[in-house]
Amino acid sequence: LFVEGRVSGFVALIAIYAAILTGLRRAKAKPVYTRPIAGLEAINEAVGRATEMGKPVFYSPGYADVAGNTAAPSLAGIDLLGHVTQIAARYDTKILVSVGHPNTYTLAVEVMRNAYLAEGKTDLFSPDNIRFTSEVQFAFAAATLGMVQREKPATAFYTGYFAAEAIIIAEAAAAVNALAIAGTTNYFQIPFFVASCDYTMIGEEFLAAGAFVSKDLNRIGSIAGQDYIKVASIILAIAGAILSTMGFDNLSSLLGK
Amino acid sequence: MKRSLPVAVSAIAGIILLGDYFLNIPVLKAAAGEVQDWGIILAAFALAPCGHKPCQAPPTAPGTQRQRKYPQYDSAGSPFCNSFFRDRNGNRLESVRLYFPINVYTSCGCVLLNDCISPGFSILQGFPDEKTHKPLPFLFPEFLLMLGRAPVGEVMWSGFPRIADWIMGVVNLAGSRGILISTAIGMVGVALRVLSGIDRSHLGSGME
Repeated sequence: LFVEGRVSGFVALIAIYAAILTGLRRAKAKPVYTRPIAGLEAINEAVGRATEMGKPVFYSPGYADVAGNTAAPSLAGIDLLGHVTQIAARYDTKILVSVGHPNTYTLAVEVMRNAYLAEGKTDLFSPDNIRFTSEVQFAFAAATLGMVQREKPATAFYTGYFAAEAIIIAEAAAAVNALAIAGTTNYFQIPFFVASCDYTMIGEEFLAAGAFVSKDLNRIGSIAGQDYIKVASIILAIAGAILSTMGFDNLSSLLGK
Repeated sequence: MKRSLPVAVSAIAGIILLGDYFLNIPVLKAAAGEVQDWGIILAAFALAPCGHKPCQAPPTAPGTQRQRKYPQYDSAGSPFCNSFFRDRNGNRLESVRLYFPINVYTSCGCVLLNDCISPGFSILQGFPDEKTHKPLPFLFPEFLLMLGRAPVGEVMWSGFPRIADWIMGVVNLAGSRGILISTAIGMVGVALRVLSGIDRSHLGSGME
């Protein structure tokens, strides 16, 4: 019945779903503690900085699609965009967005429109502030770089999927003295963001960002559920290391099925 | 209902695609093919709003209403050109998409080199924690690593390259796997939240 080599993946998927449902149920019964994440705590301060300086906020969810391998970070970036836009709308601060994929662009427009609507400031919403640049990686980087250089924002958010262009656009923010908050799941780009941005959300921190800022019990509960799986993964890793050291490969062959 | 329909459609499509990935059922394979075809057709419609939205420069001075427009061939033209034309290999205008921006690639390559030096320099200066999230003790292994990777380190002491290899092979690898595993779990979590409709923020829910 199963495709060869994917049985353990299927079991893991079911286990993760079960853990998320358990986390949801427990979150409804009892509040879940969420560890403060510096990058998220700084969002209000970052938008407030732009308001005080009379400069815009710059936001980019990257040039990736909201489908395929890059779906999760792109959706998380769009999610956070809604939150940042809502704060910017509250303070009457202009927000500029650079998007590099048509599908992501369409979602970004809708999410921003809704954010302005939620604050009752639809008149401030301007689709011209959301700019489709290019699907080509370095054309996107060049366009984003240009936008940051021309507009000189007080704050820049780079939260989404970024590859080699990460350091270019992050340094562009540093060059105009913008406070930069970054977050990505691309492991190879995290060090560059850490080096050049003020705050960096690492890997899963960024994927959980939307849940944390929304304070939605359902979403926070699902994050708690993911933690159960992380504990299970750590136990499996330790058990696997011990068994492998002792010469038993049963666990690794079981997980390879 | 307006908001629930896309969630329902994506949930059904997601379950079919997941089923096709894990299970060996011919009906599911055919259904997954159909879902993907329709997905591409729907995505094609998403290109339209972008085609007329070229990069725009800001007003020339504060308070100026008129905006200068810089139409970019890649932003405005690419989605449409890509849909209509094919190159001699039958690929959809990959030549325009990939070779015209070669000057941009080259420039960005140069910028990339320059930009790698600047944060590298800042981080080695050991800025306060709130700037880099990096306490000073982390600079010591960094320094050892650099000595191990640079030829001058080997000249000073042959043990430096071995220490650098150990840092990269044990400490760094453990850290990177930790990040990768938690990211993978997070990605599955996001996918399941979207499929089950728990997370609908990308549809604008919770903000109305």
